[in-house]
Amino acid sequence: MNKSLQIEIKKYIKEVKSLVFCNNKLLKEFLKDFESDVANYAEENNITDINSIIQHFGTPESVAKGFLESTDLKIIRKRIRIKNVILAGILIAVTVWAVGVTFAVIEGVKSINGYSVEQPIIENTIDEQGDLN
Amino acid sequence: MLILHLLHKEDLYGYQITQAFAEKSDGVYTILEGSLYPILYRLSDAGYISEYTKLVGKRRTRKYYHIEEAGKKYYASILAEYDEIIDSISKILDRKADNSGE
Repeated sequence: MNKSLQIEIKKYIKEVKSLVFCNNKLLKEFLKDFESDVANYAEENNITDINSIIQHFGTPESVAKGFLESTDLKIIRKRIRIKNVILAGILIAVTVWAVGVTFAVIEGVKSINGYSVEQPIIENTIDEQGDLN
Repeated sequence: MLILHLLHKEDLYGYQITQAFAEKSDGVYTILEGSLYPILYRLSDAGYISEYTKLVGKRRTRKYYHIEEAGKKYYASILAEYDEIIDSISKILDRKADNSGE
């Protein structure tokens, strides 16, 4: 198999990867098996161009469609749930950070304007007689 | 069921299975790799088939699938179920079992 075809196959597999949505372990296993099949087909049939491969195996879209249609829905749902949890986590972190930055900026502006409110610290101590000062 | 039937005869790798589908059905029934692998993974997870890798040439490897005893039993049970369904459908359609019609 020539070098340029190898590069084209990598691109083809990458495109399939971008369209398939399931857990990483399953996706990795599938892409490895699929790439092996593509390479075997190219070697055995002396294929030199990517179009022959696409014609035989289908477009990345049809490969991904076939995979998703045959994959257990539970696996896809689980992956979507994990993704949503991660997105929610990121959103919360960004919100907390944005609020913090906003307060810091407001405090900074107040200091520049010449005033800032500081809370006095009142310490209550008890003297030797036990009176509260 | 069709995959188990093919593996019942000999160990095959993914690409061979897709080719066997096309050849045996005269090109009428084809299965794409994208659809095939999730089924193979499910059969493997259920313990019906196992897999092993063979080195082909200097660098290339092929993953072969082998039917296990549990797979043979499962195949026999779903084949019996299939026969029963086909028989029932034939009766509904008023067709004889040899598909000759009336």
